[in-house]
Amino acid sequence: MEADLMLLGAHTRIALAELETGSGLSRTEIVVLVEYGAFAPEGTVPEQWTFPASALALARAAARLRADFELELDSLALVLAYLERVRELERRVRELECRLPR
Amino acid sequence: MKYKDYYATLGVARDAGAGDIKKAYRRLARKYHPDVSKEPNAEERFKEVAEAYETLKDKDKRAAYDNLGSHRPGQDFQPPPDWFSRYGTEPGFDEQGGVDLSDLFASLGGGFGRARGFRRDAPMPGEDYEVNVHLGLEEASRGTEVELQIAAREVGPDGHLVRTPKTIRARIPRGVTDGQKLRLRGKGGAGWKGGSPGDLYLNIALHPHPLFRVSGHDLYLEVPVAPWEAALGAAIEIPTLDGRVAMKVPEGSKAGQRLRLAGKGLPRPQGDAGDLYAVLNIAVPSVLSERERRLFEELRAASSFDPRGHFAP
Repeated sequence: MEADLMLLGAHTRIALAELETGSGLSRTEIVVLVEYGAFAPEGTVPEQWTFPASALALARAAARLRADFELELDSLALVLAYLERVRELERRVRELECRLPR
Repeated sequence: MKYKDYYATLGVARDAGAGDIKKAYRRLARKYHPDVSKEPNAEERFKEVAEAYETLKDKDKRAAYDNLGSHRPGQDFQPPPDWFSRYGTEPGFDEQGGVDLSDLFASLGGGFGRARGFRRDAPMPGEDYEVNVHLGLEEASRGTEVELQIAAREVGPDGHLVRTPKTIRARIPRGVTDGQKLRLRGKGGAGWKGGSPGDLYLNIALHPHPLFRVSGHDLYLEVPVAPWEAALGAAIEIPTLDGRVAMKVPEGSKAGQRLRLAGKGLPRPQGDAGDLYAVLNIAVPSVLSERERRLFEELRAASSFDPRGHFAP
């Protein structure tokens, strides 16, 4: 795989600084969103935190939603939780649809 | 320059108050925001709505916009002669000599894409691009190269924002699947004054395949079998992404039963592969020959099988 290419999946881990620069969210915003449970890093302190690379796509959506709807961080965390739930349900629906006869 | 009617885009009157403009924007943003909307062309519509709101929510930009006069949407027009000196800006022109109305107001407000606080003397990272890439299943399976057309918004040598069509070639590695996102570092817009280039984000979407359905890296294939194949078992051949393979239909198979062919799904970037599920569908001939009919009638008479035996009497 090319060195500059990253699949935003669960297998690659990224640090807080990379999540920050890649998403446009500030470090403070990410720390608060972690406190609200929107992101679940591994590691005990922010300097050691690592996130799955898939968090980058969610964080970019978070930055867009925050700016475009002028959301407070607590509301944003709620929206992200529902967004993730919708995506998981959509994935489940697609999987079940695959099993149905055409 | 083509005129855009920002008031019409938001569905408000030209004399609408700031509150009504905000309310209209929020209603339309809720409907078309690409992160939450399922509307067709949501992204395109949201860009129009956001562009209109970006100008009309700001008192000074709105006044400048109103002073352009009222024209038909899409009509070519030029700002009044004193407009640029009055509002202290002059947009750059791209290679085609055109400029977009949104660039005019971005220059006015100092905006640069989503980045805030653009200063002409300070380093500034380039814009990130995010593009949907549609691939065939076979392309996703073996990897491919795509050519992407992007309307790039960059700061030109003179410090003005310009919109230029840009072609980017990107290598998609084998093993991507529907809904997957990729980042190509440094393939976004050029930075300004030593700022780093932006990144390119690709959202992968797979075209529907005539045979296979995709769930993550697993593939599902509907496999029709004859009633006697389901009852007696059979050795059949089915297609996979790597060609046809032999498969055993077990004796007493049921409609909807899934048979797993391990590792015959889409390859994963880690090196292994998803599975292929053959979903059995019992196909019945719609026209029976005389002999077939007779044999089915014989079977009916001889069989004690009751498919509805579990229903209460």
